[in-house]
Amino acid sequence: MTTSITKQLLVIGNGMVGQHFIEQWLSQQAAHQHDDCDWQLTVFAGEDRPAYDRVHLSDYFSDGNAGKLQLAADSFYSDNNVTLKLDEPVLAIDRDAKTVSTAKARYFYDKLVLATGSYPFVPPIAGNDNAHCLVYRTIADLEAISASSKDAKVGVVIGGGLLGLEAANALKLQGLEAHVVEFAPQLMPVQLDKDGGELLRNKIEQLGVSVHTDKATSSITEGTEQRLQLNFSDGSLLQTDLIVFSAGIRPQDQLGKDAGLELGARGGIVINNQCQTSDADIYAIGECALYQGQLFGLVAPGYQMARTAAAVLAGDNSQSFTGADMSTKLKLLGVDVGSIGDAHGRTPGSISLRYRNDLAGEYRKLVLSPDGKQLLGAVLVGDNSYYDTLLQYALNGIALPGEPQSLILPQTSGKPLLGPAALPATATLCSCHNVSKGAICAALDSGVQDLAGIKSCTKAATGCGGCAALLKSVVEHELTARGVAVSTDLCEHFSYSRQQLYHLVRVDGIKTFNQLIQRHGRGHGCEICKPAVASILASCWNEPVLAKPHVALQDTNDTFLANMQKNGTYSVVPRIPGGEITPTMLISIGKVAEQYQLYTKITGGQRIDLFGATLDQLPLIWQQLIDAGFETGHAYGKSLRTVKSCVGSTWCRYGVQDSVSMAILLENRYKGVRAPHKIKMAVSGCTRECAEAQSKDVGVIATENGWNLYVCGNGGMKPRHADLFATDLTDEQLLSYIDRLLMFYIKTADRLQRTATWMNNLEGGLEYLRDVIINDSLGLAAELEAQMQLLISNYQCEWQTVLNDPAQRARFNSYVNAAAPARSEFGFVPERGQLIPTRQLKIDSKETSL
Amino acid sequence: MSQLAYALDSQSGVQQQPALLCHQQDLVPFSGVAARFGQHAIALFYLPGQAVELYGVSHIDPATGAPVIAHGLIGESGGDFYIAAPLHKQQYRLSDGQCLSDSTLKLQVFTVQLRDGQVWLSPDRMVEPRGC
Repeated sequence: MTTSITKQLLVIGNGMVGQHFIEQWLSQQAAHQHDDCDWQLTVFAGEDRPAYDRVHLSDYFSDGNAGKLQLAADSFYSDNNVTLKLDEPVLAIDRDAKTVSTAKARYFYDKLVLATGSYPFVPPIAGNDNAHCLVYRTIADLEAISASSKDAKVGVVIGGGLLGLEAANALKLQGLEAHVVEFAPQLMPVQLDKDGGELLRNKIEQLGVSVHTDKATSSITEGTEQRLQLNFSDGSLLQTDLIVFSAGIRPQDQLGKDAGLELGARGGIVINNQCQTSDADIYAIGECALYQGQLFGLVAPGYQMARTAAAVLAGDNSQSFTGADMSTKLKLLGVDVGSIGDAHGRTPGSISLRYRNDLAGEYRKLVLSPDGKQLLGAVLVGDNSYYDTLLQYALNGIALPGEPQSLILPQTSGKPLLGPAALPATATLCSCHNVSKGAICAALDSGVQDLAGIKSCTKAATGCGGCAALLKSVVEHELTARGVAVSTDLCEHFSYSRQQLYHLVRVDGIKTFNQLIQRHGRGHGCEICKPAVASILASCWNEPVLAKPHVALQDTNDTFLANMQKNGTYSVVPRIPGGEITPTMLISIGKVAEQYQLYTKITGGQRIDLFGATLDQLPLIWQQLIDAGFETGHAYGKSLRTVKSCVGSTWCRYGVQDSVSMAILLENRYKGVRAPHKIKMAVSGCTRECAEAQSKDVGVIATENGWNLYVCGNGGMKPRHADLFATDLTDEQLLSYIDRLLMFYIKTADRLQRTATWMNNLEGGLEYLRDVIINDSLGLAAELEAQMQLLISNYQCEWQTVLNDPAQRARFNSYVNAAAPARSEFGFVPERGQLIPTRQLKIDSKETSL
Repeated sequence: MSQLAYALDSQSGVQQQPALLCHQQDLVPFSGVAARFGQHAIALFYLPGQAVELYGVSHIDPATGAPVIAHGLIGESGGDFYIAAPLHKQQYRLSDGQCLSDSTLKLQVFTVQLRDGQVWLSPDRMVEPRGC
C-alpha cells in the first residue's frame, strides 16, 4: 500500500446546489474508493447557517421556523468528515498559488468548486438604498422584511415574476396590503403567455394582491401617508411602507471575474459540459454558471450540474451536463401555475390549442409541433393536475393522442393521465435528482417495498416535490405489477405470458405443444397451459383441435365438442347463424331432441340447446344434425359463439339495413376462430338496438349510411357497454375492421381475458385501439387481415371431421371395454314435460375393495 | 337411484386374479379413458415414456358423483402428475388419489399395469379402505 496523499477539494458556497454537490461527492467517494489519494472536502458559506431550502422560503413566514428549512442535520458535516466554514465568505482566488483567501486565512486547493449562486438584481432607481428597500433571497432577507413589516401597513414588490409573486405572498403572510409592480404588460412574462398572465392576474387580484403592470418606476421618494412613495414614468404614484425588489437574479460571479475566469457577456462563469470553467481545476455549478450562453435559475439544473461536477471530480467522465429543461410548476399565492418547454410557441410553424375558462379561473395551452404529433410546450394556470402528464409527453417525445385537446379539456370522469406503464424506462420522473422510471424499477427489484422507501433510497420527489403524484402512480403501478401478478408467467411450465407464447408460436412456426414446451418451457404441462397453447395453435394454424398432437391438450368440452353438464352428460348446440332458421330445420332439431329425449331450451344467443346426451350418443346425434344441414355451434369453444340479430329492414318498418344478412355473414365468417375467450356479436337493423349489440364484444348497429361499429362490451358478471369505434362503415370496411380487431385481440390478450378487460388494460385504451385498427399505426393491418383470412379458409365443421374418422369417433365411447351405459344410469327425473338431472347426485365417496 | 350403478358398494367376495381391462390401443396418450370392472368405473391415464406409464383411479368425481374423471386434463407439478376434474377443476394426485386442494376428497386408486400391449388390473396390491 502506497502512502496516500491528501488532496484538498474546496467548495465556495453552501446553498442548495453546493449542498447537493457535497452529497453527490460523498456518494461518489463511497462508490469509488481510491487508494492512491484521499480528499479533504472544505466548504465555505457566506451565511451563518448551513444550507437551507430556498424554494420553500416563504414557509418561514407561515411557521416562523428557519430550522425546518435546513437541508441537512448539523452533524451531517462532521459525520462525513466535511469541514464547513460558516460565515466565512471567500474574498479572493489566487489561481497561480492555487489558494483561496477569507478574512481569516488562506487555504490551498487542488480542485475548487464555485457554487456561489446569484444575488437579487436591484434596478438602478433613485432612492433604492432606503432602509425599507429590501430583497428576497436569504433567511436574513426574510428577517429584514419581517422587521420592516412590524409597523407597516402596505408592502410593494417590484417584479411580477416567479420570485416576485412568492415575495408578494410573503408580504401578505406578514399581514400587509400587498402590491406587485411589473414593468412588462403581464405577470410572469418568462413563463406565461398573454392569456395565462391575464388569468393569473385576475386570480391574484381576487386574493387581495393589487397588480400594476406596464409600470416603470422612475424614483422612490419619501411618502406622505406611508413611509415611501413610488413614482412611475407615466406620472402615477403608489405609497408604501416597504419595497421588496424581485426584478430577477444575477449570477454571483465576482470571484471568478477577479480571478480572470472566462465570463459571459452579461455575466456568469462559463463552463463546459463537465462543469469546468476556463481553469481546468476550477468548476462552477448552479446559478453562477453559464452554459452555452444560458443561466439556469432553477434548482433542478443546478442539481444536475452538482451531480456532473462530483462525478467528473471523482474520475467518472461519462457524466455531462448538456443543458436542462426549464419547465416549472408551482403554487403562487395558492394559484397553480405551470410552464413547460416552448410555452410561447416560438418554434416556427408550431400550433397552439387553448382552453380558457374565466369562470373557473383556468387556462391551459398546448404548443404542438407543426405536424401536431408532439408536445413542445404548455402553459397552465389554475390547475396543475395536468402538468405531470404534459411534461412527460414533452420531455419524452411521446406521440400525442389523436385528439390532443383531450389533454387539457376538463374531464367529467378523471384526467387523461398518461399511464405509468406508457412511460419508457428512460423517462425522468424526478428532474431534481435525475431519477428515471428505470431507477425506480431497479430499486423495487432490489427489495424496496413502498413509496417512502423509494423516496429515501432514490431521493425522488424530495427536491421540488413536483413529481410526487407521478412518482406515486409509477410506484403503485410497478408494485401492483410485482405483487398481484408476481409474474406474467402462464404457469410453472412456461415463463411467458400468453402474448409472448403466441409470438413464439408464430415466429418459430411451432405446430405442437411438445415442440413448444421442449423449446421454451419445462416439465409436462398442466390444465392451464395445455388448453391455452391449444388455443394459440388453433388461432395461428387452425388445424382441427382433435388432430392427434392436440387431442390431449383440450379442455373436456373441446375434447368432446360438447358442453359437459353437472351430471356428466353433455349438451349439444347446432349453429343457427343470425338466429334465422327454416321450419324444416327447426323440425329436424325437434326430431333429434325427441328421439334422444333431450331437454330443450332456447338460448340467449338465438339458438337451441339440447341437454342430457351421453358421450356415446353425441356422434349419433350429430350425424343426424349434420344430415339435416347443421354445423357445430362451437358453444364449447373459446371462440365465436353467436351473432344475434333483429329482423332488420327486411320486415321491420324502422329498420334501415338488412341486419339478418349481415349477422349471417359475420357468423359464417368468424365461426370456429379460436380466441383467448369466447366472443359474442350482434347486429341491429336500426338505432332502436333490438339485438342488444352494445352488450357484445363486437356490436354492429345500422345507420342510414352504413354501419356503426361498437367494440369490447359484454354482459355477464361485470356488464360493460361496448364503445363506439367507427361510424357509417361500408360492408367492406366493417369486415376489415372486425378482422383486424379480432386478430389483434387474439394476438395480444391474456388467457381467458374478454375483449372488455383486454381493452381496459391496453395502454391508451380505445384511442390506441382505434389507432392500431383504423389508422394502422403499427403497420399491422395487412398482416392481421391475412392471418384472419387463413383462419377463415381453414374452417371445417369439427363434428363433420370427427364423424369421418373412426379413430376419433371411438373417443366417444363412455367405456373402452363395455357397452354404452344406459342413459337412465345418469339419473333423470321429469319436470314440465322434459327430463332433468336428479337433484341430489352427490354420493358418499367411501372407498371399497374390488 | 339409478346412478348408484356406479356407486361403490362392496361386491360380494374379493377378486383374486389379475383381470384384463382393455388393450393398449384403447388408451389415449397423455389423456384418459374409462373402463369398467364389475360395478367399478376406472379412469386410466396413459403417460408413455414416464417412470409410471399408467395410472388407474376411480372415474367417479368425489365432489359430484358424476362419472367424469377420465375426461379431465392431466397436469404436472414438480414432477407429480395429477388430474384436474373436469367439472370444478379440483386436482387429484394420480399416485395416491389425494385431492390437492381439499383434504376431504380422494379418488380410489386401482393398481393397473401395462403388459405386452394389455392393460391389467391387479388384485395383489389392492388399496384397502382407509376408513374415512
